Amino acid sequence: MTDHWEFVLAAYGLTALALGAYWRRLHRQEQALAVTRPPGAPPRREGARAEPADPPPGPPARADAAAPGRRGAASGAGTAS
Amino acid sequence: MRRALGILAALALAAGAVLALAVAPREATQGNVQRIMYVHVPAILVAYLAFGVVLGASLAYLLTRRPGADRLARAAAEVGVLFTGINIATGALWGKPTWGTWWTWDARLTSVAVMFVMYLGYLLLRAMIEDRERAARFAAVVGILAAVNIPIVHFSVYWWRTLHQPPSLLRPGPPTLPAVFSTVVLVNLVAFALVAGYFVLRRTRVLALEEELVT
Repeated sequence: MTDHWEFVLAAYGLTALALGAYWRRLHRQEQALAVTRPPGAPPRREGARAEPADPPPGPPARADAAAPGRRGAASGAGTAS
Repeated sequence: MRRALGILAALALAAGAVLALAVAPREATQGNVQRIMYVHVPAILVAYLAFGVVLGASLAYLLTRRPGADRLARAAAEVGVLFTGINIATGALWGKPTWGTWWTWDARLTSVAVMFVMYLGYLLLRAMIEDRERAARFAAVVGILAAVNIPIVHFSVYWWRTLHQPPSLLRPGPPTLPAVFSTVVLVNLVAFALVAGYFVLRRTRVLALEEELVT
């Protein structure tokens, strides 16, 4: 039987390409996330509840404006879902 | 640790490639095209391993609801799909010169294709559901059910009459391969397993960072 080196090289080349492409994808994802993440932010512990995000700049939103029809919740207590 | 594992995996891959392409002897019947076996067989064995991790992590998620178990299942499923894809592609490249066809609806090939599509479906399902907890719960059920494919793929060559040869390594009794061939397969299997472990670690980290940004 002839050796068919072209098939052997195609198989190894394809494998290298697939592994390399996946590695590159992971690397890019990590880089993108590292840029988005605030510097020095501690890693979150497993099962820890998320901290509420900082309020956006500007005047605080009125609780009754956020929940139309709900009266008596202006203090903000009980509005968090 | 991840970096060390990455370097170790790259070195093992290089060693495996040298052994497979330059050191292993030419096979008498098939000639050098048989060297495709050194990527084709380890790829499916590592895919089995990854899908086994999906099964374990999915069960762990349903029992404990820990997000880490869900991330592990998702990362392992991706890596399993990657290695199954490599197995199918290298199998086609091996099939053409030896069987005369790229593909045939043989029991082994068909069952591998079904397994590949099921785990692709698992990943698609995750992408389709926006609610993270719901996606994790549904995916865990699919991850457990899809594991039925692993024994079906492996034993298909015994259960049905197939063109594909029976297993050479994971089989009852001693391996049918000469020691020199099975050693090269084992080296490549270790290399692929290290690469898979490295990918799973990195992917779980990316998923954790993504979740951190969302919450």
